[in-house]
Amino acid sequence: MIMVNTEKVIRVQNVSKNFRVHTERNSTLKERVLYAGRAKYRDFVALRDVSLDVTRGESLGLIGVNGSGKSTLLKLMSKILYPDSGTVDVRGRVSSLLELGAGFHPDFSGRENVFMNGALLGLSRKEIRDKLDEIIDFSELGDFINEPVRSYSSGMYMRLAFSVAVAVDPEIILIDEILAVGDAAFQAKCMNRLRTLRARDTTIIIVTHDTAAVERFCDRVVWMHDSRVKMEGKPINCIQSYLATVFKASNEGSNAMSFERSDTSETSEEIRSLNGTDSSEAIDAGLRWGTGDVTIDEVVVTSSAGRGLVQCGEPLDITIRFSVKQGVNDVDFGIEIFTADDVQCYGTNTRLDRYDTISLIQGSGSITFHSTDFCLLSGSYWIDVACSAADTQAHDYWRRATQIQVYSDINDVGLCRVPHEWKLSIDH
Amino acid sequence: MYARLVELWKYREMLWSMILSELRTRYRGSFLGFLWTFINPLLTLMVYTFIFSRIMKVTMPHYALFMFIGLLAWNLFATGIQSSASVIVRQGSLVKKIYFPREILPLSVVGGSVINYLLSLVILVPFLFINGYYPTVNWLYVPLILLMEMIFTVGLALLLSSLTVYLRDIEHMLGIFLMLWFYLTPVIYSLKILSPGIAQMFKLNPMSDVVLSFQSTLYYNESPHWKLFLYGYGISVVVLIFGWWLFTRLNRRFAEEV
Repeated sequence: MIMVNTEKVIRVQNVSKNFRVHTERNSTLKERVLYAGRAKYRDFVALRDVSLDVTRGESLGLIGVNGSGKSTLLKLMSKILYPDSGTVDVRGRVSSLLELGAGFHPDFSGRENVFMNGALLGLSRKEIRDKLDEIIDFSELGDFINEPVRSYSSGMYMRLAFSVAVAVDPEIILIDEILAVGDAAFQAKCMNRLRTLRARDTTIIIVTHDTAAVERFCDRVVWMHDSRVKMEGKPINCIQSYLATVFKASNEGSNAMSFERSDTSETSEEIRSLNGTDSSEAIDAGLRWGTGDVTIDEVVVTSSAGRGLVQCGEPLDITIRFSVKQGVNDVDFGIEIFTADDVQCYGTNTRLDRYDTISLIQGSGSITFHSTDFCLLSGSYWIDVACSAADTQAHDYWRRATQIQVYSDINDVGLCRVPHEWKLSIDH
Repeated sequence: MYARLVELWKYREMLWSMILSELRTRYRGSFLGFLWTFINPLLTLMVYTFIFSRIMKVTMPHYALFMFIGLLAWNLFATGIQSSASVIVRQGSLVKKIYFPREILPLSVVGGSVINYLLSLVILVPFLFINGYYPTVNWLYVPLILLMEMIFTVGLALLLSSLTVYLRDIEHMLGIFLMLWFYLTPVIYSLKILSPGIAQMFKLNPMSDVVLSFQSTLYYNESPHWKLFLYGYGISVVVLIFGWWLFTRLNRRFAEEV
């Protein structure tokens, strides 16, 4: 018999929240008296009639662009903020990691801070004492635990803070963007600890921009947009729709936030055209140049995971569709892949790969770059594509033609996965 | 209210840890460190003894003792109030990042002052002996008077700490206001120098009740005047309830306003 746990541990019902944005702060007495009744602030709507239930043991990802209300929602759940209308009902011991190391005192040693921080998170001294070794162990601080926190590097500071926060053994854990800090190895360690907590039926809610992490980790995703829940459901569906909108927005400029879509079926269709820079804009932005004899019409990335999305180690196709205005001889097609922060990961073209030279006559066609096991690790990547002549003169060079998201179910670190196996032998 | 009390009880570890860190940070970095907790009242006592019995020749017997009893009680109140007024703003990073019952913050400040008071008894009690005062049954009132003062101080601390978030001037006005209040409280003088009518008015001030009660038990070796004592408790409880009520009302927007 399968037990389905449907106990709701968090109920958010019709919650709205406005912030007062003080144009000028009236917080001195003079101003309060002088401007009484006409306070100089305007309301900023952070949440508009949001409802959301979270079941015990669920891992929920909150995604959305900056200012969409996801962090506000998290702060309401952790009772740091109160709603203007509606109700937020949370049952169970909550540990919120809204900022690592809030409440650390620089003058005290790491050990003393563990006690103080643990008390802030609602632990008794005895509970902390029982967990002290585990906490110090996890933080990898060693003897530094007896030094004042003032002397810590930011990495050490962060490691200690996370170690305390996960030691709380919460029933509900709320995390805001903290997975983005620290080196990759410690991040992987944090994720593993979160997995352990999840296995113990801990309810986990994560706010992050790292869609790859959400994809790997969460059972359900809520996409916040414009102070509302725009979409909720399976991670892959929500993330695809979300990415599509984000890319469209970055192409259309600031007013693209009003972009509306009602169902998901058209999403994957849209991704194709939205997923990169638009051709005409690319030329304006200096991201595209060439003779124009051959023009690239579109670049489509597909894998079994969907368009623009691939799992590390799975096959991937990058298809370049092109039109030929005027017949050309001896051309090559190439691709280049960059990380979001512009690190060149890989580049090649048909000439470098020693394929026969390509001659094109007027018309149109497509060429596909097929990788049997795409080995870049999880993250966002840009793809440049080009069609060039033998003298490297570009017919059409398109920087940032499209973007792909890579996700992975293994937390290995670095840029790409080296094909490998482990062999253990023990000498007696 | 009951639910909030239960929650505060759950967070007693945090309260205790905040009190300790408050006490420990106060003198951290100074050479004598925690000893200052004792040196400060001791030096104060020496200065006042010197000024009032050697220079000003006050005729009141054991005047330095009389004044020291009131001064310690006043310091508990004044440092607690002054420091808790700005505590929510000062601890803004905690308020914005972590959930805990916000009452913890003013409570920890007042708690720190109370502990400081208790530690200064280490100076006061020997000084009583030196002046020929030995424990009597009236000393048993001391914890009760202290409790009254704590109730009043916590009430006012809750009130002022929550108001200061919205009205930052309070912090600056408070210094001068406390100075005025100090002279309206019979710490360095006896009410006997005032005309009876005015003395009666002075007794409306709850801090007068606290200080007078301490003086009755420790200096005059009497039980506190029961009318004064009940009035003091009554008004302290009213202030506490009002302060807490206001705090729970204003507390909702703390995270946005600090």
